[in-house]
Amino acid sequence: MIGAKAQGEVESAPTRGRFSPSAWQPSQEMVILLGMLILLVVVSALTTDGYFNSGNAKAIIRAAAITGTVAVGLTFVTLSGNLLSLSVEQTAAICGVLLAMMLRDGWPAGIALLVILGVAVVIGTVQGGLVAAGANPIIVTLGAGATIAGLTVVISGGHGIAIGHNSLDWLGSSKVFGLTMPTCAFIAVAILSSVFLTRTRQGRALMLTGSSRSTAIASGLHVRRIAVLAFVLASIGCAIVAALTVSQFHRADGIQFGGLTFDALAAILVGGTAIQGGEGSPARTAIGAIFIAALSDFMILHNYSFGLRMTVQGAVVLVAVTVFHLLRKRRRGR
Amino acid sequence: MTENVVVTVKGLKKSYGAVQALKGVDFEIRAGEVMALLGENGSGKSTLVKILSGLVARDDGTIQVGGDASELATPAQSREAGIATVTQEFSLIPQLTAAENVFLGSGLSGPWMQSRLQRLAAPYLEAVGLEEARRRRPVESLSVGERQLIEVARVLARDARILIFDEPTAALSDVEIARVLDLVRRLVGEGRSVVYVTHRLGEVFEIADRATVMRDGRSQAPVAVADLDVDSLITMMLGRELETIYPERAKELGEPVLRVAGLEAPGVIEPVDLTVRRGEIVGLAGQLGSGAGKLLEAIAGVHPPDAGQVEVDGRPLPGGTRGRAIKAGLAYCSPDRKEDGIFEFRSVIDNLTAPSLKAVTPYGWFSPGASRRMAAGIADQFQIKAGKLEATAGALSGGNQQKVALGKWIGIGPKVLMVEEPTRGVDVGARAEIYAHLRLLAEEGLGVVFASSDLAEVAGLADTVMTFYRGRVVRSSPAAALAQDDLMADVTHGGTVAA
Amino acid sequence: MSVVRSQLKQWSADRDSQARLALLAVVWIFFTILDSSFASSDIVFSVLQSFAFLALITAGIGVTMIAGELDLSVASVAAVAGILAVKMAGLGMVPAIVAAALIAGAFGAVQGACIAWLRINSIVFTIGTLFAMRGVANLLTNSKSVLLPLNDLDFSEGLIERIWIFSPYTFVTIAVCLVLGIGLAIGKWGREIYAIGGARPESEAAGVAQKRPLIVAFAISAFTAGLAGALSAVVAGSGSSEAFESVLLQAVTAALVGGIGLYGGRGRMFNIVVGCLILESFLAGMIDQGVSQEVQQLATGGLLLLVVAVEFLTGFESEDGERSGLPPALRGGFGLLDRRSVNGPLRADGNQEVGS
Repeated sequence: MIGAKAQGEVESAPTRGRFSPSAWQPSQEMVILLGMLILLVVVSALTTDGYFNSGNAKAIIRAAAITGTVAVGLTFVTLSGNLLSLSVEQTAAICGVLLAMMLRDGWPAGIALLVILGVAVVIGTVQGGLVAAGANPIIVTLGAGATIAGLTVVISGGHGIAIGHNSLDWLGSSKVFGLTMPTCAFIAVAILSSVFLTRTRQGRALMLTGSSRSTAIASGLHVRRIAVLAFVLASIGCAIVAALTVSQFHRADGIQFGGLTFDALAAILVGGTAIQGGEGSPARTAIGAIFIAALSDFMILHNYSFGLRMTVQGAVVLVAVTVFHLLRKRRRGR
Repeated sequence: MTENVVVTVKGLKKSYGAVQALKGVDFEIRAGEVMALLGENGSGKSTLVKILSGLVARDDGTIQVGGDASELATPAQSREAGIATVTQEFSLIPQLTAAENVFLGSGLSGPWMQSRLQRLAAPYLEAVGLEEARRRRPVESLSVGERQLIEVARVLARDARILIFDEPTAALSDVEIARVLDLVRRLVGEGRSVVYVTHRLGEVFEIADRATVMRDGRSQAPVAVADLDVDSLITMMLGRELETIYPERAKELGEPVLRVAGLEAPGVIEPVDLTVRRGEIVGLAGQLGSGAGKLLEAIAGVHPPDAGQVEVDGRPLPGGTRGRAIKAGLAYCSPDRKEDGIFEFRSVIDNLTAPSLKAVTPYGWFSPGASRRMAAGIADQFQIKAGKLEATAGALSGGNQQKVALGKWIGIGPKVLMVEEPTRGVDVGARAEIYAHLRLLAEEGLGVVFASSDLAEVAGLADTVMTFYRGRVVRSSPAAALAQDDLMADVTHGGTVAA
Repeated sequence: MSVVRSQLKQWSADRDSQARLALLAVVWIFFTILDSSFASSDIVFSVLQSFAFLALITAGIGVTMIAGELDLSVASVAAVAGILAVKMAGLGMVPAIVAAALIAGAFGAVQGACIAWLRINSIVFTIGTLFAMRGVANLLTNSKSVLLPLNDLDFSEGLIERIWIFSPYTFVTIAVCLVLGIGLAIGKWGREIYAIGGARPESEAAGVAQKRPLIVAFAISAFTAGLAGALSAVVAGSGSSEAFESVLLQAVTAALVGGIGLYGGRGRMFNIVVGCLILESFLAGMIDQGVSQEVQQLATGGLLLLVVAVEFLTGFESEDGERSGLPPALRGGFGLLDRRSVNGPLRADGNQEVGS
């Protein structure tokens, strides 16, 4: 490196270990989010009898798991500055259908999983490639989603695929430390994604690209590859969710993931990730998903009708989006 | 000449923080006259224009428009006073036609049918000389010169009496320049007043009645253009307090590290040859539209060049893309750091390590230690005062931001550092530091090329100077051999009159 | 009326419109070749019936796209309006429908005002409202369907009563599209919408109001969605909270086929209408050929991707050698879609804003 003359008075703290506190400084959004979650839990506990049993907590996280896993993967698309993907539910559906068909036909579980992983990667690459080439992500994923949905039905012949016991049963029924597989997968995906984002080269490049695409280009970052990577990661999340669902319910059909796209988007928004990119985290999305599930749990326990629950959820999204937006504006001084 | 003065400015003062941009400026303009407003970078002329346009508030001084004291605190008030500014930053909607753009934002009532708009806009578009056939096309299909005419038509439609043209011909072809000058003559013929801000002396002599020269935040009394010649005008513009902030020039130069032959690109009309040696700082002097900046962009691969070869360290650089240029060791900083020089909302550490992600992520795994070390090292080197390195880059002062934008390239071990406007929006203290570090980098073996419209900067910092005017190289010479007024003559006039 | 005629003449003379009309003709010719009985007044009638609903929604969402935004809540708003119309049947059918549409429009205006005032991204905001409105729909119906009173069913049938190839429903749609189209073309508010969509920072510099056109655009999209939802619910005889779930894809596809630029500031109502006709004819042709619904969806998605590819290949100029059509750092929080004039504006040089 070019020789350094020790001039000036820059405060550089002595180099600390890998997990120095400064690396884990929670953002304002995270603080608010956790605060809201804690508040919700406290209110729920105070107003509901028997709220505090571990069964309830596990149930909430389990409820959040499927949406949360997809949402965490989808967060990469948003963080990289590529807005969002509207094709996640269809991606999950096609992976589910393919998996079910392979298991029904006796393929070994390992191969089947690899195949749907490959399919997910291809789907992500195609969409990411189109977006990287300059097309608008909303339009691309909207069209891709419909195309994939159509393909799903063509493949499945239009009816659900039921499978008997097979080599993937363990995925649907095992428990690790008393947690169901979807919960484990959710936690694992959230942790791995956070680590990927903050600790790997690609992850950091992705965040920089979302922060300012033009500066990223000027700095020599491969923004197009990053776009592809983001969509691939989102698709992989869908494949994981497909595997979990199929193994648990022993069936797949083209519509079992209906509503997943917008539920995942809601989790991202409640988690406070900025739609412009460059700000946010998979961890916050995970907590956003948990918050929504906890809220839903609370409302169900208090006998809110479906309509009211959905209205409240919509209102929560609106409030979250507005609050985080204003917070961001104030922080940036604009 | 009747003294019907329409705008009088007295004792205008304006400070930005510690820096005084205007130190007590007087200015006036009469009805029916073209007043040229001249001045180098840092002379304060852009601040004066901004104050007249209501974009910036003055600290002290009086302004009178039409004999009445005017506030001009907001753009709306400026408009009401009859002042309109035509800048380079257009406000046209590309998909709409000329007629539509003329009336946009003007509160025109009644149906906005294309035929009616064309009819209503016709006198204004006629006045600026936009051909009929062109008026129905979406503005995006018109040339830059035509778009500028539409801007003027727009201000005419709002009955502007005092028009300020800010560098109107910087990006125009000869034909279009002639049209603009015609337009200006016609406007003043109708009794309006035109403030013509330019660096092109030829145009001053062609069009202006009087000229006000600004220097170092002060204005000189207006002079009749008829009483001037190029040399005397140049002398009036020169003489900024020469700061002793430039480090000593290089004593020894090494092998050529960058060789450019026959380069042509948009904005660079004639093929350019350029050689930069290790340890050398080459300064490209030129104003807006001179091609100096475009040359650097072409070398850096921002826009692929139309023709020519680039060699780094003897090895030819294939195909004009940024990625390849960076890989070959060419680091480039654009003049707009907010746009693509810094990550405004990321920490200083992230900014400084961005081009060198590979180095701080051994085996793909991020090392906060390595990242911090690299950032701290660069920050030390460039004297970036960032308090804590975790501070957001956007919160830094302009000078420190610029140091971040420049310094981040150190990590890739560049061979050549190319910068456009290295000290734009940077205070004197930080400027001195940046110059010192550019010189240090050169001494360490880099080749440094910078393009700047600040002539003192070019003359003070560079070892070798190339001057540009309207897309062509005027001359190339060791800086020591170049006098200030030669420089000025080159970039404002394409060469000395007496040449 | 002369205004109408001159506008229609102007529209159909435009090359883009002619290309689309040609495409429409091609679709019809294609499917008639496959099945000679395709080009019958029966088929045209049914195409126009489906078109009637789609065109209203597309017209609305198209206006927001022209403004450089996107209203994702249209489907939910349509559902709510449908339920409201049925519930208000006691007022008389026409007042009920109109009232439902107006309520929807008012909601849209409020939505637009929030988006404008907060300077927030419309995608993100309308994701919230799409949930909320869907919830409201469920609340209003208790998650069941509400049924139209029996004696009003005559009106329902009357709405789709066949008049040659049209029906009152299609007449309403055509009238609304006509009024919207003319308003967009000659109203000041129309130009403002094009301006903020085409080049928002430039429009601000030019002095164009920034909030008003947004409020208008979102009010329009909600109004037309409400009208469409109300009419369809009345025709179906019931209002359901599950209605119109898949409308977003079709509307966006039709808008794109109809030439709404991906990047705002472009598009005309006439072309949107033709775009809807193209899409509906395409679907009708596939149905005629016995293609399953899923393959139709596939084809619609494929069509969308195809249109994107074509628009991309023919129109888009890159700025820096990279084809970067991605959303920009959304300065000011407005705008979801990239706006880039082909020859970007020159920036003023030499500004020494010291200490900034």
